[in-house]
Amino acid sequence: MVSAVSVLVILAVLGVATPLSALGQTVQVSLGWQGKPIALPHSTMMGEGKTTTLELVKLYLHYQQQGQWVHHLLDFESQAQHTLPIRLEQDSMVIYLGTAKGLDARGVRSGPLDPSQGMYWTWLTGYIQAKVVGSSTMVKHAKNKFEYHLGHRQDQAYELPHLVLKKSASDQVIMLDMACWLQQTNMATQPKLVEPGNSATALLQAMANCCIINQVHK
Amino acid sequence: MKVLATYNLALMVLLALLASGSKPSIPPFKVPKGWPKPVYQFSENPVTTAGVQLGRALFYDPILSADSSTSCSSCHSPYNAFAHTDHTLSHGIDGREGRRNAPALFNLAWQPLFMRDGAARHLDMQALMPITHPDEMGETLPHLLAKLNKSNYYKQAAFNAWGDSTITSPIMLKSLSQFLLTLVSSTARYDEVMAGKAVFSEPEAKGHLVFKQQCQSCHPEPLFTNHKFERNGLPMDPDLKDLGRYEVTLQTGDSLRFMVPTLRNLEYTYPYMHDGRMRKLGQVLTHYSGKQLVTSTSKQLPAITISPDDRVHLTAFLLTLNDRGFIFNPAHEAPEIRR
Repeated sequence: MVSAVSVLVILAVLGVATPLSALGQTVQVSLGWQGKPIALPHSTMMGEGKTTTLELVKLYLHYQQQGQWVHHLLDFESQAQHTLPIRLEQDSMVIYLGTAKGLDARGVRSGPLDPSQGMYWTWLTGYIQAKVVGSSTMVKHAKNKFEYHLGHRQDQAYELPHLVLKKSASDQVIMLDMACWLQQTNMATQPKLVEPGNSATALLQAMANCCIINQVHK
Repeated sequence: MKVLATYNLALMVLLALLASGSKPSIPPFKVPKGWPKPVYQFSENPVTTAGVQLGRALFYDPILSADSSTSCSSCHSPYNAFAHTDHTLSHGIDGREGRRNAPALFNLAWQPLFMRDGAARHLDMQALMPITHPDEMGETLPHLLAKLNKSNYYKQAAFNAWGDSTITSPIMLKSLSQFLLTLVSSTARYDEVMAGKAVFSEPEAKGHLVFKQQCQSCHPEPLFTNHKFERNGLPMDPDLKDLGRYEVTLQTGDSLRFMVPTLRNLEYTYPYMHDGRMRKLGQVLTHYSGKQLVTSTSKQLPAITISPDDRVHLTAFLLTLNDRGFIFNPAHEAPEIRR
């Protein structure tokens, strides 16, 4: 018999919205700014009198559930908060930022991994693991735009950034603090990074470092 | 009303049966006798007649480019073994020019990586590169899918092949792969000799021996490529600044390495080399004569020695790799598309 979790996992793989009430405990992912939740577009002062606006943040996450790898594409421009249909089967589980390694070598996929989602490097091949786009008066040219496409090159040796989620009776919220992350960029000098490589993987790792996991007591 | 609903249901069941009936059909892909096992995972994209027909239509249709001017076949003509000819670099929309000589497309089921630098790691994903490259077809995937989904021709073809009239990226890319997988060149004179149905002439036989001594390490039979990235000994073109495999891996050892091309159908695929800088086969032989090449595993090969006689014989042998049956196979030609 197919379990409820299996159905939810299949729905997630297919990119179908998951009924939250079926899960009991929930794991949500949202964006934050200095610890407070935000929705896009989000404008704020950053630096001395510098206005920064975040317009787009897209991020792949994946984890193993019942022996299957489940991928999600979190598009924070269309939705401020995303609920992951996770059931913690053990004391903790690992959530990886980005897609599983070598997916581009295994053929074309649908749902969140469909290349039409705009998260695929066609000429350099492979998935763009995260995208951040916005504008800032710290950027002196290109209409103040900044743009980051994060990921690795083929066969580049690197560790997938990850988060460890611990079993909890409470709901949990993973907040990606964009103030923390933007500080890791060299926005003023390098506002555009759209090629995979060491710089792009370092900034993906910085995303994991800027995630805070909070328990939400009902 | 109820009668109409019943009728519609019956029609849908009939169409579904017809579609499912087209799925297994006679597989248009067959491994030639004595060839290695293909690397393509056919279980993940079983080749069907309807799938091949959809892929064939897409391959020849300029709708795949941003301005509907350039199709895959613009650079990969069937009469040139699905390479281009007469110009060194590939041409894209708006008269733009790429940096590389379009490679021939056949025997792709045996190829683990694609493009001259191996940037594409799966045949299904390869087509995304030319479709979206600004110097080639300059299209976006969402826009292309929207165009295809406005076409009754493609909606019907997708339904016939996949039982779904909505064209998605997997349907489009897998169908293109199915057509490309049917491009198998295995009926050259060389193949007839290997099958015992013909014999080499004396110059061809001598040329085969020269080939085995001088060329085989990079161009092993029967595919005539090892699919590895090797240095061909050519200096970098200062205008193109193409560093080959290095551009994918950023490993200094990969600088100026390009995928070894197959030697099948050479007569139809000139110009030669990754940037098409050589128009004649003789130029290629001259280039390699006396060269001491280093393989991808850093093994230094003995210098290639080709005497004037060897050169004649080798050329005679290489011409036995021309496959007219493949070049003029009507199943590979452009279909009629009525949008």
